[in-house]
Amino acid sequence: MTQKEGLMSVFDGKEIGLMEAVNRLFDLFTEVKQEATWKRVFGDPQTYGDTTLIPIASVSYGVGLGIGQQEPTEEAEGSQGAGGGSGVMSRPIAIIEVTPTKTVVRPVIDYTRVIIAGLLTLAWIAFLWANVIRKLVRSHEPA
Amino acid sequence: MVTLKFGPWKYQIARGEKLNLGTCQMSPLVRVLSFTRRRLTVGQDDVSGAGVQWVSLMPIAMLVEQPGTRRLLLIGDRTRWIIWALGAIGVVSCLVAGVAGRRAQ
Repeated sequence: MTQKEGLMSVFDGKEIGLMEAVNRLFDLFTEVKQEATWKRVFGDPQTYGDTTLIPIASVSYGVGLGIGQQEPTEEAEGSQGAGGGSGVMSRPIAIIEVTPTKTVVRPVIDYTRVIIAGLLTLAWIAFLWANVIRKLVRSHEPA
Repeated sequence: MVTLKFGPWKYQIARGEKLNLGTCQMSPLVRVLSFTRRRLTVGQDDVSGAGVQWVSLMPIAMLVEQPGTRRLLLIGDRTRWIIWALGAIGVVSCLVAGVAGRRAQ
């Protein structure tokens, strides 16, 4: 990859080429991905007496960025801009309970989400069948 | 353990380190789904770049080894299962109501 002259940027306090800056930022993405190990999903075991509990969660995260720079020309001044964002979401899924005699998975259910989804489904079904019933009533009406 | 690639998408099933809990040993299995895309554009007087990375980690199972026994504990996301089931009920209801509505006309 060639380095364009004049397109310089500051990264980690050092002045470097913009292309190199972009490449370094992209390498950070790869590092983030390599850190995606099982340890993010399975929490540290917690022991209470004879019982050990292991919390389990589903984790998802994303990062995005855009960067651009334009060299100054005779007609226009040079410009540069950059933007980025990231987000992380984590939800508990289950707890593994380990006792001297047994090991079981205790699921964790998010009732708020389930109830909201249930109400939306019920509203959708009521809306659909109300239309069907209306058509049935109309078809049986004398002309 | 298992890696499938399709363009910017990557599906992986990874096995974690063994956890020693005294009475038993456990090996976790995790599903890793990721999307990675980076793009660099070099023009006559300009240069631009953009990158996106999204990673989703979902536990699948735990291999439990106790003295004399070895079993696989499946870990399911019950909340998601229930929501998918409700969605399926909504879709089936939509199809049935569509057929019933046409017959009623």
